[in-house]
Amino acid sequence: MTEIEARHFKELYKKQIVNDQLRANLSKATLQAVDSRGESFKEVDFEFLRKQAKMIREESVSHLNQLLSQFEDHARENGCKIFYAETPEKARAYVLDVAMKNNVNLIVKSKSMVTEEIELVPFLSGKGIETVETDLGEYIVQLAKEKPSHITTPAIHKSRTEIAQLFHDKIGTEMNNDPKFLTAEARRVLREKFLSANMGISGANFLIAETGDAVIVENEGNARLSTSSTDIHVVVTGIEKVIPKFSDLRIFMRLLARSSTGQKLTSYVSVLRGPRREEEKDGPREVHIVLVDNGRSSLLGTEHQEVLNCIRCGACLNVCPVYRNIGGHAYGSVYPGPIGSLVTPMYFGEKNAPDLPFASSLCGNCTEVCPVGIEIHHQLLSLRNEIVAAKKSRIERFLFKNYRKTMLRPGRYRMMGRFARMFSKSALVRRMMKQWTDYRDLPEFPSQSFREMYKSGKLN
Amino acid sequence: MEDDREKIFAAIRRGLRKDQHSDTERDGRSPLNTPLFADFQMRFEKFSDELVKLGGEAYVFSDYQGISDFLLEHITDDAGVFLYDEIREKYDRALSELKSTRAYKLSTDFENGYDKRDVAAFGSAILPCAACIAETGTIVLRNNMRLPAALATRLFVITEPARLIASLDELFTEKFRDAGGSNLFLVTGPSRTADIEKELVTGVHGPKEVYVIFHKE
Amino acid sequence: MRVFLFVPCFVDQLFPNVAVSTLKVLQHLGCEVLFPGDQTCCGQPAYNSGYFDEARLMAMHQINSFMPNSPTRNHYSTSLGKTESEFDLKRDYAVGPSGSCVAMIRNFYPGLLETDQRYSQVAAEFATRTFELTEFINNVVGVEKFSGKLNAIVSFHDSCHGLRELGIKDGPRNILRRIDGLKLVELPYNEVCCGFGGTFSVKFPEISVAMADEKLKNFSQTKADILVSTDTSCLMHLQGRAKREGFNQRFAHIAEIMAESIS
Repeated sequence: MTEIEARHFKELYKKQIVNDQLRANLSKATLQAVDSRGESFKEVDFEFLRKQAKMIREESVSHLNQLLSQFEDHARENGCKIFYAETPEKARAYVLDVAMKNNVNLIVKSKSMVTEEIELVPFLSGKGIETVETDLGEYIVQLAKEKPSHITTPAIHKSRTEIAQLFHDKIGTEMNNDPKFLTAEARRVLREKFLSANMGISGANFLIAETGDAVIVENEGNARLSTSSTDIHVVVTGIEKVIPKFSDLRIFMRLLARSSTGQKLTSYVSVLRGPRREEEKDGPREVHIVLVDNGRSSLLGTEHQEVLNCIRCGACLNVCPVYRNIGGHAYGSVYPGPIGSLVTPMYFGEKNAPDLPFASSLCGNCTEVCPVGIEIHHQLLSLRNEIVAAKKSRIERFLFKNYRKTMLRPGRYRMMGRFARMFSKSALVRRMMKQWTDYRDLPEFPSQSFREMYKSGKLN
Repeated sequence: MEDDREKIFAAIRRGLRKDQHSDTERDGRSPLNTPLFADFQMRFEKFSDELVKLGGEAYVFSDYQGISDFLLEHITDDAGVFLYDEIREKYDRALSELKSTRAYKLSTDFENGYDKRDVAAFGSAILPCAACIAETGTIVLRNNMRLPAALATRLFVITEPARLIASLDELFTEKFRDAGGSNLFLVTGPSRTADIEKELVTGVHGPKEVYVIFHKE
Repeated sequence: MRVFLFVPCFVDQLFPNVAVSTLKVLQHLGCEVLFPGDQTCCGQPAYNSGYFDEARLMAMHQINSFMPNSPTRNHYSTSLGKTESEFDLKRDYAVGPSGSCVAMIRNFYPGLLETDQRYSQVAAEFATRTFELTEFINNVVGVEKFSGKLNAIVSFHDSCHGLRELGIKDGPRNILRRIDGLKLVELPYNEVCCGFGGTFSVKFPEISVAMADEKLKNFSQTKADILVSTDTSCLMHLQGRAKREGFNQRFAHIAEIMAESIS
């Protein structure tokens, strides 16, 4: 198993939480997203859409074999080449192979979480093929040699001033922190990349079984250019992205942008059906679709299967108060936030993320906003159970054993309660409660418990 | 290179062996709280509202002169105009002044393919569309050239009222599914980003200005 | 109407006044109130930490303590000398002053015990008879039966489990509005978690208090004197942080406010 940073969550989050600038950036951005999300759902019936979406995604995932083969048949008829990759290595090797065969030296790439997951860009760059992220946020993160800290807003952790400095250092622009100026500079640099590139890579938000279409949702226009301005277009996505019907898009298109950014629809939606036709004058001549498993199929038939319903909107990140305080990098994974705390241990192994499922107050706001009805916080609970069963912290085990013994014996409970209250001011009790008392005061402990008062009869 | 299809399919089969529910009936109702727009005027108002909110503009012209004046007023640079041939055929009377004063190219000029730099040079592109959607202010493009609409700074769409459909429910139907071609592009307002501190900036990689003209005969 | 008090363990031990107030309010509303003395902890801390087996045993114990004569009663309940009143699943209600602990019984007991033949049926029925206090007053007793008088400016904190597991939103507000002289000022971002989260508060204390600080900042903006909630756990956390940071507002359970308003 490849080790990932998520193992060190406890150290990572402690570094992030003291960064006031980061927390201010995050707070502003996520709360704004939460507000616009709420506003955007006023026109439609969210519960209706969610119910439909959940149903369609459940159907998709539970018929995955059938739908994938349908998709693949139609995509081939449309002229696409399909490649299944069980592991990141395999997917990377295939993309490299396509690039080498076509003497590619510059790749323009639009946002795709799966490519982050399989670390495709560093791999291709390492092989000497310049691979440029063209989504503004991703471009910023790539220039900074960092990783995205949010599923849909990769540079959410950075302030305008930090970005101005970065552009100044890396692409030599003047120091000007106006987002309009910075965006125009990025456009200038990236436009040239689009015009010189000879291969494009994108992800896919949905694959449609009945047509073989790949659907890509975006705002900047970079995905349209990445998919249409070069002779070769490679789609890299997960096997779970397939949905049955074209008409199902009427549900997902209304949910995705609203959940993500509070838009009714993103600026661009590309429904791509293979390479250019004879009568068409542009568009790729070759389209490859790489379908990555990387642990997804192992969730089928388990109680975590519903996690595969996720459409990567990022709504759960925006509403999550934990995410808002520590940011995406603290999670040490390409998938941060509540959905990340599920996906990371599921795709990369529980040993790689032993703390993530516990890093939640279980407030359930994630579940409340999830457009495909994933019970995110209940999934976290069941992961906790699995982790506890597999890895037993001896101290914790001991504590819970004693707790159980106490709580199952009312007499012992009464006695322990009385002792705890009696010695609440003692140094020993305070020490045991260090994780509480270092940060907060303890309440005044009463001399009598409720049951003692009740029993003494003075309440009636 | 051999792929992992069989391995993955076997894994899926193993996982899905447990009872799984069968196909579900779709509920065909519209999720919109207010049903949309019986006639063109109402649809147009909604379409225009949505597009304007995003920074685009929508107009109805009943004469060619109106379109002509509009285009001349909005295309003021010398960067050149890409004119989709279908537009030229239908609206030539609205384009004559433009053609005589601005550099332009027709889609038919690219009959034998083109270099993307040629298209990137255009400041404006004038295109037909397959449909417009009132619900979201969206333009639906299904043309045999993808790049002009993606690369131009200003995007003009000229179309007729009958193309304006009420909602996404009408778009995601068999009619558009089976229309042919390698792609369907939905354009909703100008290209935009909010990647820097959630501040909205338009014209990132695609058009900064989007205009939709309905020609009402 | 017969009500069996469900007093969460930390309320029993640390905030008995919340339970006393609950008792008083329910009696004031004309309920016959009993307290099953063998109840301890509902098992939520174990459940939320992933210790499902431990939680299951506690769920059984909890049910047994309400139904001491039930054949399902397990051997741990040693102190059950005399037979107390038996909870009647058709007729009685279990009412507790905590959205979080009630959610444990209502939403999670049935799942935890569904494979246990002896308990599955009882757990499912017990779940439907268990109510959070304000929920009980709104949905069973009738909120119009309650009125009180108390001069105070309060703000209300929605506990996450009350809000999202039980759907409690307007109920507590309806009650507060029936108190003469009480002014309710809404908290900005009132549906955001306060950061307690049970063991989360001690496993990740820095995150937990960062969330509390946000909440306290929003509370200060309301200029209210008292922060009221349905859950003592949130209040204990917020109050503990507030004291540490030098805030001096009051934090009170809604049962306490109700009890004060009728005395």
